[in-house]
Amino acid sequence: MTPTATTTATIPTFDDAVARYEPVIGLETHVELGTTSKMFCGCSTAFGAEPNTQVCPTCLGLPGSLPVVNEAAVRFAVMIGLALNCSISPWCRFARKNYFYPDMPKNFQISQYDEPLCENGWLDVEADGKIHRVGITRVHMEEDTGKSLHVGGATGRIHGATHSLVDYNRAGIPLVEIVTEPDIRSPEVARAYVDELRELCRALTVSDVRMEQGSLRCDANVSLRPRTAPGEPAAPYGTRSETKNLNSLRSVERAVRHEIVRQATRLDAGLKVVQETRHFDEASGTTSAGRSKEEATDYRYFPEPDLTPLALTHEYVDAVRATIPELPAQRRARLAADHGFTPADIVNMRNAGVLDLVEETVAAGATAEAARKWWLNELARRAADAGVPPIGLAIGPFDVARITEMIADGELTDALARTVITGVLAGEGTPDEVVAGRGLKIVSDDGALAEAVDKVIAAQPAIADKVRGGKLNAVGPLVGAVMKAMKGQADPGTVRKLLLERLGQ
Amino acid sequence: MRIGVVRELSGDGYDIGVRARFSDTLEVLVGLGAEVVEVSCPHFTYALPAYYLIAPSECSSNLARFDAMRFGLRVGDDGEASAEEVMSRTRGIGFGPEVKRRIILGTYALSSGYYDAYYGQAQKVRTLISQDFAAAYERVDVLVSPTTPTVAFRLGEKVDDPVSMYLSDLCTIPSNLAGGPAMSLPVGLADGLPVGFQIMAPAFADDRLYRVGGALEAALEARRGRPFLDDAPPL
Repeated sequence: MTPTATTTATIPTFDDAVARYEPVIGLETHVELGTTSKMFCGCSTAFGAEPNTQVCPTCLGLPGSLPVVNEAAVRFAVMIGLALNCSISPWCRFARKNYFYPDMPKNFQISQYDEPLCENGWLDVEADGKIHRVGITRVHMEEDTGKSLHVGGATGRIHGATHSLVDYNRAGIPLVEIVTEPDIRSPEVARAYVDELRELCRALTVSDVRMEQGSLRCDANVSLRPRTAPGEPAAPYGTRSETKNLNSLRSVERAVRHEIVRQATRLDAGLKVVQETRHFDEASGTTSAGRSKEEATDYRYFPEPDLTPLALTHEYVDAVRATIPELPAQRRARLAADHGFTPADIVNMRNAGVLDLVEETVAAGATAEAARKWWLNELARRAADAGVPPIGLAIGPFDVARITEMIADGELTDALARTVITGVLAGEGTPDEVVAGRGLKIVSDDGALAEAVDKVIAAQPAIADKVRGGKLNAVGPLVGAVMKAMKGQADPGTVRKLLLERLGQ
Repeated sequence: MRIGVVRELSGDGYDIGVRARFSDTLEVLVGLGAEVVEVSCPHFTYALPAYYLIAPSECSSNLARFDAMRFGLRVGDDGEASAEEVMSRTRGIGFGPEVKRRIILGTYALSSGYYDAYYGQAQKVRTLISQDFAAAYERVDVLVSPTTPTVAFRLGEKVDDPVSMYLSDLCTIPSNLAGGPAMSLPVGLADGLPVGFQIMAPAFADDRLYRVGGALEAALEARRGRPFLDDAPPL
């Protein structure tokens, strides 16, 4: 007898669920390519224009229009394929995917089906301090659809809406779909994969990969199977669900995590997992059922008769290969080897938008540690205060390198350096000009410093006696007082040394 | 000039009058100095069924854009109906029976589970037909056949018998499937109706059509003493 939905289900914790079931996860990621024009016509791909202003007979699917392949889109797709260690097909075709929907102008999407451009690759992903190799099944090209806006309902979904508006500016924008093998075993690795893929596309400059603008979208296929004892064969794959349109890294991780717990709950209750598409709700962190695959459309794929096959020569592929820059994983390895940065350092610098700036500052003569420290802390904070990305600050790698050099030479303290930065940001010139203009150089061993030391000792006899008596730590307040008297233009180390000398220590 | 007569595009099913005009024309070509030989293109026999799978398949997809959303007729948009219902109503009224027949045929031929048996198989036949052409053009410069097996049928006569109507396309389909150029030239009357003579050439050798067609037209006009169209009944 089939158990029914009325079975009382106990919801396991995530840890409990993954202790008993092994999650099997595959991801399909759509990346909008950053070409100037659309996939099959000359319309602009710029984001954010007035609706239906970037359209023509071809991307509107008007009768008599014909598609022409965008060479730049093919080149970008080949770059992605090569960077993902795929083999590039010497011959492939576009195919039509037929289904009726108002945001699809021709009521078929030009895509690729059984003859994709790139196949059989992999991407190494770092998570939990380990490298996970994720197989890439395929990378294929297709065109994006228009964008529907459902008006009049509470949810913005089509259900309950009174009418819908369609913006065809997005219709025909080139996309690649990147499909992984079911190799991923945890929500963290799923997230790390999307993160790494995003960095890869960014390094290739083939897309702006902004998940919040939809230029990178992810669908997660999740299934569970019982764990088996070590040495025993793995259980066959369970039935999967496909959660659509995850539009942030956090959503990828949360949606997968939720699906694991949801499916474990069903399996524990003796229920089956239904093969279906699901939607992720950001607010509640849960997924809900969409269209069931059993009633799914028959897309009637067939080779696109309006386009010739794509036959890329070895020479072409090699020429594209030669344009591939350093990839994120290679860069991380180099940064670790050359500068001693840890993976966490690199992630922090990348997330703060200062990684390139740090590298340029090191190239301009700073030590890696100093460059990292100043950009990641002081300068990232100044940028945040100003509401600009760090690269938009009016201080650049050469200035920062010079400042760190002056610190290393004992000409500036950290506090003085911050004042120099303020001066540079205020447009007072180079760091040297600011130091000269504001008179900020450290006063090291001239009479002024000696005089200040003597005055402070005289003003604070009690503390001075403690130090004389051997309590060296008590010197701190005296150092502070001298620094204050010197308006910060002294080196605290030198001040401390001078004080201790005077006090016979 | 070596001219090949396609054996498979003659014989049973071809009107006696059409066959007579075709033979006359071959004699004119011989008289002009052409060498006429018979050529076999065995897969042309399968051209018609292959075409009536491929063309409707593409039609079913090509015509999907007529959905009332962006242009053209829109039926039943009463403020209640969904987009899908408006598409369905519009297409139900806007398309005629022959178009609907082809859309249904093509949708079926492309369906999951039937694709290989119908559309896939038809595409293989298409390749075989191209190979037949290539082999024939090894031996001859152009191929010829009647343009249609019969003279024009009456308006509305075959509306209820689409298969017999499709048979009229028998001779012109091979070139369409293979993507080669072809020309039809009026060469006389049978039962008071014009008979067409088809000349086919390899891809990018369109000039041969004009050379053969031009010489033939001039010879026929010289023999008749006036252009063929002068005998057309007044409109």
